[in-house]
Amino acid sequence: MSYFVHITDADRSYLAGLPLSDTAKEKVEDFIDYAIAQVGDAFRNDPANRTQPGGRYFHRDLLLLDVWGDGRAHRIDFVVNDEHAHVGVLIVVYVDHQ
Amino acid sequence: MATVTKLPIAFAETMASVLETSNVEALAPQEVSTHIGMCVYLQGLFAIARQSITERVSQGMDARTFAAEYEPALAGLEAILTTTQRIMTKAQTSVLPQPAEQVIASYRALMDDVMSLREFLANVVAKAKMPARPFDWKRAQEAEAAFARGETKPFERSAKR
Repeated sequence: MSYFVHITDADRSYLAGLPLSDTAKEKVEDFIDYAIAQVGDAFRNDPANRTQPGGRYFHRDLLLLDVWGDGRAHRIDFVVNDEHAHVGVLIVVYVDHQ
Repeated sequence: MATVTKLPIAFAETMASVLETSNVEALAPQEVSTHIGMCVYLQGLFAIARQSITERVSQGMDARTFAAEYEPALAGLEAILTTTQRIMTKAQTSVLPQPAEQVIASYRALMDDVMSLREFLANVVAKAKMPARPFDWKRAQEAEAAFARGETKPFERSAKR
């Protein structure tokens, strides 16, 4: 199953402004496509991936080495609300780059 | 741990163990060639391992998966370097014949590569294991409110950069 992944303008701007090369930013979009839009129930329901027990959020953390840019490893954490998953919608509530 | 990483670590561990227990000064010419050839071969394998890790993580991967897969490799590299330190200390305190010096020089070049891979991997594993920042309720509530007002849009890829 593939979900519609909703994302705010603020988070779109945040992603666009990350200190990554254009190619690395494409990899971030790939990750949203395959790791969030197509996330499996097993991953979402794994307590290790929930932000709190019984809560409505899971997180998906991307590790990316930007060999086209600064050559450094980056972590981009996506926190996602899945209370509308039953109707095929996930909401990225925020993104955090470390 | 992927085979491409596992194999050179296993071979290098064996080689370190053999070098530590053998009498380097008394190696026969054929043994000297074998040791030097092995060092060069292992340097090639470690270069392939590094390239493989770089290719995987530059495509982007789940941080926890990466840490689970490669943290054992880091422990393996640490173990090799610990044994190597003992070998080098012993070599520095002995007067070695020319062939033994050649073996130690080749081994030192191999260990420089192992050390470089260890530093690279330690840096990426540390990033993968970095704890998430505390949950940001404010941003979460703002995003949910935006969704409720119909202000969020389904994700679409950017136009080709």
